Amino acid sequence: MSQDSENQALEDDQWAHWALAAQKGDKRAYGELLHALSGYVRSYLAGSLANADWADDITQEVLLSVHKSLATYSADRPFRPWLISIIKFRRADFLRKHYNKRDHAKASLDHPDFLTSYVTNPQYSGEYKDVEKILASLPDDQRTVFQRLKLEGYTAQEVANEMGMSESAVKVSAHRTLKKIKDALGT
Amino acid sequence: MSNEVLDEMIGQLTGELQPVNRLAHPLRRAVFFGALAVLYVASVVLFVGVRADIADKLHDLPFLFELSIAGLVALSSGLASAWLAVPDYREQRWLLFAPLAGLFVFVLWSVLRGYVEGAYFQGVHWDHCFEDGALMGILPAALIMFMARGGATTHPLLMAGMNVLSFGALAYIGLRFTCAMDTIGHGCITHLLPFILIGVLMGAAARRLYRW
Repeated sequence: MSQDSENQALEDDQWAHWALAAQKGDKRAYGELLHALSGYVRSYLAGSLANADWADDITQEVLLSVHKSLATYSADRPFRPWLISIIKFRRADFLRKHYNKRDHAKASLDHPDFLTSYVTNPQYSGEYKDVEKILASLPDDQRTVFQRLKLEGYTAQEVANEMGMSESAVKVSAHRTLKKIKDALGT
Repeated sequence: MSNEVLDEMIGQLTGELQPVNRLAHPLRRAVFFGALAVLYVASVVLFVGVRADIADKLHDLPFLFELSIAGLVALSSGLASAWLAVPDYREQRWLLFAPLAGLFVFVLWSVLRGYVEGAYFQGVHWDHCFEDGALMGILPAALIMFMARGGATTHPLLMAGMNVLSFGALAYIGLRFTCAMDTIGHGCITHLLPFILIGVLMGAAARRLYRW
């Protein structure tokens, strides 16, 4: 067994011990458990989310979920898989709500939190501005076609129906816009 | 969110902690709720009245095969529901495949029967089987929902599917003991369709139904 997996197993045992004590009402053990879990959950989430604030929000959700479902942890099972299931569930829940609200689409590029909240690679943030400028310079129809097809995820058929164009005309228009953007960005 | 906010939350949760009764092993819960549901459906079958030709049907191999498959679906989906009530379902993923395999065989069997014997669809009209099916399904549905909500599922859609498969299959078995109409058309419309519709509704509301 490698040193890492040995440490992990020890950590697992410690968490399981605290969880069992917490099930009996031991507040001190419960506090220890939640503190230990908060660090682990944060680091688990950090690599899979674009935004550090989201990791904090989900960590909070996970701790609440651990609190609500403490009774479902069983002494004959390792703690980590139980915890990871809850983390994945809350992460999926959070992201689904986030994208359902279309928060990412509503955000203004000029908003001071935009770069930290919505951009995965802030070093490319300047390009967002450039793209926005190019899109603004396009005729309305061309811009709408591009946004529907390339940014909002509609199919060419759906865009064609909405715009009263043929499917191939929609594709050609989007292709031209894309070329314009590429030329402007020098890529 | 700062560390202080998180610390404060942990302090609150710790302060609220009360001793909790550990959830029983999924097998124990499934056996308990399953036994109640089977007893109830058997009682309803006796109350409604067993079909007149039951003695013959119990020697009819295709009928017994159909009941066995429905029984397998009811049992395995009931077990899967009990396991799904634990966040990591104790890492027993295979349990989810048994009901789906059973369902696949059941559908295949029904299609083959329909092809060989003819389906005899008579359209949707009111039939006493709707009432009997509702009567047979309602308590098992309530029991399995109660069991599911007693845990903390991380797969609400799967849970809804397994729940409806379980009580739907149980009610279907009950109906096969009370209804003497053996055609696929009748079975699909009056024995299965209501549970398919309930399944669709439960699937749509799954995240709310099993929220915790």
